[in-house]
Amino acid sequence: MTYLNINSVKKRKFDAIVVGSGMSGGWAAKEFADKGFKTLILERGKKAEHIIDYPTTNLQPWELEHRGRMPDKVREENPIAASCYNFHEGAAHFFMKDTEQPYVQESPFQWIRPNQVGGKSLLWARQTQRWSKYDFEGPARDGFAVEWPIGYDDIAPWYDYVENFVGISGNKDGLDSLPDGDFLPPHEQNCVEKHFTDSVNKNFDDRHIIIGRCAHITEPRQIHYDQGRAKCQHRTICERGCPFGGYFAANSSTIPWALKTGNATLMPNSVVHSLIYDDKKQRAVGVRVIDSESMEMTEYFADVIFMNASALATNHILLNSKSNRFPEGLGNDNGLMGKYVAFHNYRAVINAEYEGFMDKKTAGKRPNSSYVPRFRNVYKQETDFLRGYAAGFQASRNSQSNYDGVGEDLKNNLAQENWGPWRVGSHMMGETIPKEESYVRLDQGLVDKYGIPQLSINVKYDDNDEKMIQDFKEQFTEMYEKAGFTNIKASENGRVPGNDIHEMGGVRMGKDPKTSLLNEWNQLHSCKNVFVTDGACMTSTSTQNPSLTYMALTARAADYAMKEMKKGNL
Amino acid sequence: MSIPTWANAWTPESLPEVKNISTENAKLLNMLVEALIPQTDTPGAAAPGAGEMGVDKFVMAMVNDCTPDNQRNTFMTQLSLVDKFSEEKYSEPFAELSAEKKTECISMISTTETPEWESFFGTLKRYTVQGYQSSEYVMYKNGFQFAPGFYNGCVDLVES
Repeated sequence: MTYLNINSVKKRKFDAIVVGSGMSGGWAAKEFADKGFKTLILERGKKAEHIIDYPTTNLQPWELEHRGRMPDKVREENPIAASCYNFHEGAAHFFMKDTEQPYVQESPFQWIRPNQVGGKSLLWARQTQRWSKYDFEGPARDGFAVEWPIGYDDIAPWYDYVENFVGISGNKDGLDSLPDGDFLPPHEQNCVEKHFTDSVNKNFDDRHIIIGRCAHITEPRQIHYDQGRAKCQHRTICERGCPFGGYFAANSSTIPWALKTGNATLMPNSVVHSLIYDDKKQRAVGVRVIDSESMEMTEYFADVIFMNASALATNHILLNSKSNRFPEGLGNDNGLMGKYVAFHNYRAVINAEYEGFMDKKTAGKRPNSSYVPRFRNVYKQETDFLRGYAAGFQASRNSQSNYDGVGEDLKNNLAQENWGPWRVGSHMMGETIPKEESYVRLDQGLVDKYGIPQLSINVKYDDNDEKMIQDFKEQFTEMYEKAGFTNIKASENGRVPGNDIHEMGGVRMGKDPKTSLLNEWNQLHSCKNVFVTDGACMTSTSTQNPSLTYMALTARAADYAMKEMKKGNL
Repeated sequence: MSIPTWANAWTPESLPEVKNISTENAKLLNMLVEALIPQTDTPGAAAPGAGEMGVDKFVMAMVNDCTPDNQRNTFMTQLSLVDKFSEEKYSEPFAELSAEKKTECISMISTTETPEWESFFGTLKRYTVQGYQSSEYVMYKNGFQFAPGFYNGCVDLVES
């Protein structure tokens, strides 16, 4: 006899399910919970409560057993996680171990994943530049991927909305290629960065060097105090988790905000296996969740499902959501799901020295750097490659230690200050072109420990990227020379796709259901109660660090979803 | 927010126990790092040495966990040959030497041009200097401040 546990099903029924608790999932949860919608937040990683679960946050440098370096054994066991600059003693516990996340590399790809509530919002570089109209217009103008179904005007009010809550420090630079927001006070450029700014302004009409815009509270507003967050203390160890909430992480902001409403339920250790599609109702009705500790599968139900698992994980889950109606993955009528994945090209850097301002130095620390907005092909095509690159830029001056001698000689040498020239450096952040042959798909044979087919990844650089690297080196060499920098050295760091942690696409937005998966509201064209608002939705990548755009898209889509739900359309 | 008291209560004894080293060699290593960066009593500039600070424990943590096998093996082998080296030069084991002689002995090791001693001394010096420079004492002396922080992009450089 079948025993129908009606009460149990009721307990597992919500208005909205949000898959993922990071940068974008936190926003979906906050928006739904704030408006009174019962919301379930599913997170595959472990619990990570603000402050309580930041075990290294108050360790002094000398209290880290290896002064930050992870033991060789751990690095050798986790070559993928260890390829990230943040995989050190202060933050390695926030990364997913390689054994937890087996996947197939058809081409070299470092899939850097977090493993706790808050996701990569604990670990990110906190740079928050808006996209401009020129970025959204890219694919249509240059004839690649598909046209974005939205433009800058559609998202601008949502940039305003999330920026106010997140807290973005920046300077109003008045550039139409990088729109201003309602900024908190900017960080300071140092004298050599200012010199470079002036030199570039003088010598190039089309280029600007600005202070980066970043998610740090430089002057709290009431909305930040309401979140329990305070002014950034410039400790510059953000990736350990910040007890002040000085930078934005879902853990210090959107997630506790959602929970405080009483409308949200947060479930860590919850690996989403797939979405459940009901052929009769012709809609997604819920998700299948595997408890990573008990390995038991449970189904949860909701009217609306937001996919915020991270770009590739969202692809993975949707591809694995097979039904009679959708044998190739939920919403994948055109066979394009998983295709047109792209990323950011960080492969080239250029360093130099500067012998001006020899009587000056900096004092203190700054969780930010200068930024060079994209200047190539912004208004029209002008090079032999498509699109362009933004760049980070920073100047610094440190005393170099003299390690000579032994005994008292050595000790005295170490105590001496030796001020050499200023050092400057820049790294490129290039737009890559989404292509059909850059894809992720389910492997036909290999499964992970949950029985889920492994994701197989094939994403590569192409000729456009190589040309862009050359151009970055040439243009920055010229800009450096004009600024009087010397000992200029451009080099490549060999970073493979994925290591930028800006992978995007696979479930792209577009106007036409034949050539895209999502509409202008981030709804699956053919399953309207499923929304994708993490990196998977991106039609193209432009050059900006993407988190701010994911947050704005999420808040916008959640607002639309709730209005549709109230109208009875979802 | 103020820093909790435990954050400033670091002492050599509170460091994790070192592994993979005999009690004798651990004592010897402590003397070696002290000889490399000794206590100084210069009036007005008295400062503890690396041994007193427990930098040897950091050296062993790095040798154990962050050093390639062959380099670690050489380090441990040569460490057990330090007394022999000392006896050949001074007819006394390293522990019996005066502070000056200990430093002199380290200096002799540093100029012994065999691959083994070069590797040993390179490892010892690299980690001792790193541990000493990132010690609580030296970092605070150099103006380290955990929080609150600040940034000023252009201040006068006053050569010390």
